[in-house]
Amino acid sequence: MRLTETEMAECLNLPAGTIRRWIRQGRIPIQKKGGKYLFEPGALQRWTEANRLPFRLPENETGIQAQITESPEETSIGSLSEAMQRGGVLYDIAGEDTRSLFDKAVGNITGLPDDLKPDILERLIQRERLSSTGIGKGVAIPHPRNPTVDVLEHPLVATCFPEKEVDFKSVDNHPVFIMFILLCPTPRHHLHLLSRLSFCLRDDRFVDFLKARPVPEVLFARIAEIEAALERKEGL
Amino acid sequence: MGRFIKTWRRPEKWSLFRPDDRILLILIGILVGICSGVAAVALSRSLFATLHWVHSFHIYWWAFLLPGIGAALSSLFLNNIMKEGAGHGVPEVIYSVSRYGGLMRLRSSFSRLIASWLTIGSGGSAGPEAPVVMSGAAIGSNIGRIFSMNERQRVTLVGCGAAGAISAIFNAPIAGMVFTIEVILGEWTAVNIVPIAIASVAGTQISRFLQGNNIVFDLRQFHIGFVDVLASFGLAVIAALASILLTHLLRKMPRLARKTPLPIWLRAAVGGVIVGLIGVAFPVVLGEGYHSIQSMIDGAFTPGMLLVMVATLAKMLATAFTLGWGGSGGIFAPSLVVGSLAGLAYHRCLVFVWPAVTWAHEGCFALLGMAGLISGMMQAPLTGIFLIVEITGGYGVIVPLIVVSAISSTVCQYIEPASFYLKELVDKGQLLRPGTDARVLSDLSVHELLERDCISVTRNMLLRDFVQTVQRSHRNFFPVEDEDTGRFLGMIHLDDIRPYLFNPGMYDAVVMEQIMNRGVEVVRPEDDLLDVLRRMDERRLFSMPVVSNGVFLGMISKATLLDRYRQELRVQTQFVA
Repeated sequence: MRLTETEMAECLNLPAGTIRRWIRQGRIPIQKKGGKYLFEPGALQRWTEANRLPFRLPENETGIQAQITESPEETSIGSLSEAMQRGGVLYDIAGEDTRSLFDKAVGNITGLPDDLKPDILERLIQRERLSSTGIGKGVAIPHPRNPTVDVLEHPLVATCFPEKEVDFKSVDNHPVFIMFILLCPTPRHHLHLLSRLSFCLRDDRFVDFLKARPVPEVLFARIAEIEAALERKEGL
Repeated sequence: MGRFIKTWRRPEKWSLFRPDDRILLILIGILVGICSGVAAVALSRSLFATLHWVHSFHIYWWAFLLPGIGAALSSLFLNNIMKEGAGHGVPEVIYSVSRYGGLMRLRSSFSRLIASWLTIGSGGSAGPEAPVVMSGAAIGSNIGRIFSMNERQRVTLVGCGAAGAISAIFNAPIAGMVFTIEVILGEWTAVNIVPIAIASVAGTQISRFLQGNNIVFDLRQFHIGFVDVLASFGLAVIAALASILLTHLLRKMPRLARKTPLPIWLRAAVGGVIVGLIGVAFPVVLGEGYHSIQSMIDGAFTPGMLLVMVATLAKMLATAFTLGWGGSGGIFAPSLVVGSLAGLAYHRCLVFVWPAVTWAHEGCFALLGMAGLISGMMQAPLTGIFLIVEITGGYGVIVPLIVVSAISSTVCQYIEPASFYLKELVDKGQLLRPGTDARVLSDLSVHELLERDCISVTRNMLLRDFVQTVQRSHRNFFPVEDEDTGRFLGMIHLDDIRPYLFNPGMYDAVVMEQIMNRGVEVVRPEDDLLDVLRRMDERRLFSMPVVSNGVFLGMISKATLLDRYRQELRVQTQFVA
């Protein structure tokens, strides 16, 4: 098998200079021929295993594909609008206090297995007892005390409009008219979605838009629009 | 045709050798062993003839000038024709193995042979072994180059050359192999030992084919009693002291010679004449001295106790004058002569102090003294043991032999940690044995450790924009560059500015140039890693910026270094199939 220097460096996850030196010193079963590196994939793989070095052949080649753990950086973290679509929108949730409200809301989330619901409810209440998740302007973002829900594969955000405004003991004492229940598999997802959501809510026009209780399609479209604008800005 | 030659010169491409280079190394090792064996036999035969011829002049009064003429010619030949410095050769081989992957010049394969032939043949006190080791090693290296071998294989072939040479000159295959591995390569691995052993066999065979299967020093059987084993402890200490003295003389003498305002060849001549004068009083000091050793082992060496002691010192001085003042040759044979003289002197003392005890034959003590000197000078006990067993065929004395070798090399190591061969290299930090810290660090370069994932900032950037950069970065260090020229100006470490990061009031008030660290310690890409590490330790740094010609290249950190260091160590010490 033949590879160029850069491809080889990528395969072994080593600087090109190290590979060049090892070939010169005769420490690695690769030969140099006409500016290309020549090797037998099987022999090289045995060698890398013996030396506990990473080894992966380029994707387009058909040969032995050595497995390598992908770094978490490479997997996409997902967007808020996707998570909200998974969580769905619930209207007119009845409830006098946070407990009864959570009970109803969690019971109605479709994307959640039924056997998990009592546990999640309990953890939401625990978190609420610690300090209010009402962040002001009539908005609350309840989430479990330990923010990770390992069994979930993807994060979900359930948007709930209570039947009538509920006192959440928020920082600004405004009663809550909307809550976003945040359930994430990892802390990284949790922080990401929380930061996106709070970015949206900073805009008062968006809060006014929420007060009108938009239908799900309109809400998701608006969120996606804000996210796209944010990503453009971050990309700069 | 050209294509054929091209394939022929790259045997590792042949399908037979592709899976494994061991067979290939063994085959080439045989070739190297034969070639270096021939070189060794050539030198030893021509020395034998020359010494015989020169001996006929010893009836004339001007005979003492002969070693001077020989040494001067040898010095002129090496310095002016071959353009190589004087020296015995073994450190040069070790240096080439540890620093240049066994790369040696083609002319080294014969230059020392001729130079040492001139020095020793005319009566200079030196040995032909180190020159043949050098020439064998150079032959191995150049044969390796013809076959496009890589460094690891070439080092093995250099070892094959050295082993073949020693095996051929002493008719001693085990000594050749052990000497190579213990002294030259310093690495005992199966990949090395097999080709080297085969080359030793090839060297021995070619020497037996050319000059017959003769044991160098013919020996009769000795009867070793318990008292002799006890006495060998004392001899070991005497041998160790003699080794230290000889080492010191050999090391001090060149410094003395350099102080004289003479041209190099004239210094060699002066040294040679002094040796000639010593030789007038003690003919035993002249030449390689194998003939004298034989007579001492046979018990035919007549002088008494005091005279033998003086002769021991005289031989040491003669060797130091020959080699230290510019002659060419090795210390192998002189060590053997000094050792046998010391052994003989020790035996005479024993007989003098305890005349009633039945001691072993004096030849036996001469032999033990040789082993003690070789082990002590080279700090290589196994070489001493096997060499003496093989060149005397005297397996019967193995017990006191081991005692003398082991103790002598231990005592020498205690007094002088680096042996005569290695001292210079150790002082210069050039002794890089495989798998050691120094070796790994000298192989790795700053370039290979560079971390390029640092985000650079410009000197006019506002703190507000910098906060954005911090969000994107994985690292705590930010190099500051001039936006026009790209020159490196300084570093910003997150720790230094953390308090201001959370103070929005400063966001538009501060630019990077005002908060950066100017006098940062930087590394240049060509810096030695040992030195970089030392600087990191001194200043308690964990990472440093690498800057080349004013341009920032990346960071170098101890964390990455440890990672790559372990990789390197594993790869270096692993057997490569």
